[in-house]
Amino acid sequence: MSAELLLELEDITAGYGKMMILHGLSMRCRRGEIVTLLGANGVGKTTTLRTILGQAHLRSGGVKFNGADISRLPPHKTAELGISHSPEGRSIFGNLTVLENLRAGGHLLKTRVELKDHLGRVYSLFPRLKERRGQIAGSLSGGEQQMLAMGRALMSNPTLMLLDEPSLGLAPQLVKLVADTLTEVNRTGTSVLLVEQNARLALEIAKYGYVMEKGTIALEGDSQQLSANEGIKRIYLGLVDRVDGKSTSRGGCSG
Amino acid sequence: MTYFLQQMLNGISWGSILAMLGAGYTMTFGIIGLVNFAHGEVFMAGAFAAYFALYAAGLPFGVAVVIGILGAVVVGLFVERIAFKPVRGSGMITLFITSFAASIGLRTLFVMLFTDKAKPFVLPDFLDGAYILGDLWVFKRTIAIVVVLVVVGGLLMYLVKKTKTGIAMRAMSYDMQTAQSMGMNTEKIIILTFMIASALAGVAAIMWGVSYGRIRSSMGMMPVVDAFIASVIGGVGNVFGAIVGGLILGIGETLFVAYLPPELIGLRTLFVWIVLFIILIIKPSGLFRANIK
Amino acid sequence: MRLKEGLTPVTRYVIGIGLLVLLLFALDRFLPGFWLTLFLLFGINTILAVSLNITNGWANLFSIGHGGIMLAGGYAAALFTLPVFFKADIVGLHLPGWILNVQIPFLPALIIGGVIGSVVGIVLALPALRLRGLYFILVTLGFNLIMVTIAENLRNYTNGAMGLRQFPLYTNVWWVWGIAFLLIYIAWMLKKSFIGRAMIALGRDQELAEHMGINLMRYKIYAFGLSTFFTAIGGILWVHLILNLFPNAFGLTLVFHVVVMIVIGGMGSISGAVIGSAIVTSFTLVLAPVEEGFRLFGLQVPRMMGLTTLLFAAMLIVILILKPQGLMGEGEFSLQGLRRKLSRSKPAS
Repeated sequence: MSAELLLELEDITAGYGKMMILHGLSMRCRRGEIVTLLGANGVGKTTTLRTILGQAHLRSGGVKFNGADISRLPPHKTAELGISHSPEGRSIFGNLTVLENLRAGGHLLKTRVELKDHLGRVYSLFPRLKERRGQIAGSLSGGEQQMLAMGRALMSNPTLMLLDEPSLGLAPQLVKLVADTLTEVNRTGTSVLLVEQNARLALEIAKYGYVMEKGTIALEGDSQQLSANEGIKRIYLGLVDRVDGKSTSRGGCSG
Repeated sequence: MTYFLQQMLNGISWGSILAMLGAGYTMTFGIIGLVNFAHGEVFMAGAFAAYFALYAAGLPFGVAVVIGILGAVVVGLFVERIAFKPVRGSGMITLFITSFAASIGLRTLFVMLFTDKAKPFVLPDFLDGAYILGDLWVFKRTIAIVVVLVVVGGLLMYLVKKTKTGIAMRAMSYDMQTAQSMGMNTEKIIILTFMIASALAGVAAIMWGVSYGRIRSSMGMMPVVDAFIASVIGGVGNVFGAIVGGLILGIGETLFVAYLPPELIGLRTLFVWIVLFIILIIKPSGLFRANIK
Repeated sequence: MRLKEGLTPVTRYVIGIGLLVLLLFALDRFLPGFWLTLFLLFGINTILAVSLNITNGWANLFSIGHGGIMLAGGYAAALFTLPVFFKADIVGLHLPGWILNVQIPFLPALIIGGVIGSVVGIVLALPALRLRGLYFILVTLGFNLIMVTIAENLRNYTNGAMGLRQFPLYTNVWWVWGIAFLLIYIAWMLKKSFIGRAMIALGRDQELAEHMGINLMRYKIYAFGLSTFFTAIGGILWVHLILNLFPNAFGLTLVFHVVVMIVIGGMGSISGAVIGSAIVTSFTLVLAPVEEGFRLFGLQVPRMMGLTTLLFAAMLIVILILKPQGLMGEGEFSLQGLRRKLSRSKPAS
């Protein structure tokens, strides 16, 4: 039996207000792994992360972390358990400096020593952030903001890090930096759940992957398996209704 | 020249009151988007609490100050629980309407119970008197007010800029949801913000009582507007900006009135509106950086 | 209803207006004093509420400046409707001759006052119309205070704090309810028309409306202009009923009461505004004697001036917590809706 289960989502129906976005979604993350959640725009990847964090309306189903049910926990309690978040679109605090953003990420740390320690680690991963630590975050470039978002998520030394499309809008060398950082972070013990549109990048660094469609998991498997899977391409291009080994293609495209 | 300096001192005194009111006002606006009309009544309640401590109970001035601040905090929290918490997330307009209702309700209640007649707020002995430099009268109470402004303002700035709580407050003002995912207990911090804002209003109330020697049920009606304008001048959610904004308004208004020809004296209330219109036309986001998205 | 379906639209209008005229005639003739006053107040409040609803309810321009608008309109009309002997001799206003030496009938005064109130409102609101809601609230709050200051200080035009008296009693059921029904009709038609729907669209989602090609500034000005026009008229009607006008005639409490009307009724609903106005008017008049203090079972209950306002404040907070869309939400009263509701509550036959 491989590593223990860290995160379990069981038959989730969730959304916002009265509108449900996820239907019967189930997935698992094992400790120490990088797991990726893929899918086209609007299928519910962000909603899945928000459900884990307690920021969406969970109508039915359960979320378990380390075996304990966290479905009804408010967001700040979820963070206390060791789950951190690098949100979609960076969502850094534009009115605070780089350093203040990082300190915000370290809100739950108890001692100044810990804070200094973790800060040091983030600075060594992202030297650019140290250079710009007094700068107002709103004035950083897109790539720097992404580094900040990731650095901020690392400040709490999380058990599980949730990232929402970190590569979006980044130049190739920055995308590589993101990938390398995630691999490094994972090596030192942090588990990662990576939501991505860039399937190729994600499957390169992840061990296991899930592909979403219309609010539920359509496909899952080891990253090597998924990389080779024709079905993924079709789901992304929207040429099929479902993939369950059989494909029913519509439209004029051949194979 | 002496006249100018004398009026400057008056202006700094009035400006300090507005600075304290504006700072509290901008804090609650920044953090939950609340245009808090009832802040004027929290201010008034603090003044009344101190007044009762001084006259009904004959307590020493220091104790009355503490009771005044506590009174403001209690009323501020009461209004938060009843009129703001239940509608949080319903949008700025709804929050404003409930604050409008709370403001009118509280004011009407106080007028019903205590009438709108002025009540005396006699200066304690150690604040009575002035230092006379040539023709200039530097009142002891003015010095006290400035000292309080500097001390309280300094503490407030330290809280907001350097402490973990202050960073959390500012982060929450910008993006509440992301702040929550960092583990910030937003409910607790919101309550703390209201307590601090109300305490600042309490401090402003004491300053007012000491400056003008009288309080009344409707005393909150005009200052709350000045506090609102001070926050706009300073940049929404920016505490330092509101303090500066309050001082600008206070000093400006006092000098405006001081140099206004006597026939036009009734136009004094227009000053703050002229400043507001200027700011809205030139730089609506305020002089300093706002703390909201 | 079969009867209604058999008639042409023109006939329907004629019958409708005919019934209205009859109703007003009967009320004017037969209502005893107290009820007449209540009915007149109800009418003025309805005008204020329905007009406020256009900005606060539809266009999402939350205004609390109606006190100032009423003052502007009231004074503007007053200068024309006051008798010459009062203006020139008793008070000695320094007005140009063509104003000072005439006393005009109600209709032109209403129109002049309405237009002036509206123009003043738009001019003062312009800097805030393109900014966020909070600035708009602040600026409209300023209207009230600015207008009061102007009224108090331009003594040569307004007689300052001493106020104006000797107004002709122009206001009656016909004017009040004629205008009220006119406003309701205009609002009703507007709500269905393109202009109205554009206003509501920009009220719901400004950016989306802009993307759909709606010129935001233009429609905001339309909404604000129309609303303030009728609000000013409401003020003029009031002044010519109570026959005096002071700078603090339309204070924050009145402003608050009108807000209560539209919130309780439902912001965005014309029928809601009428219902809200009915509720506020009746509470005010019913509680007025209570506020004076009375004897109950031998105990003297003291004067509690402001009890009504306090009650409204509590009601407003409760409504916003329990049913924030108000009694009617954004919808309107309709005979079909009523029929549907009644048939639903009937047991299956």
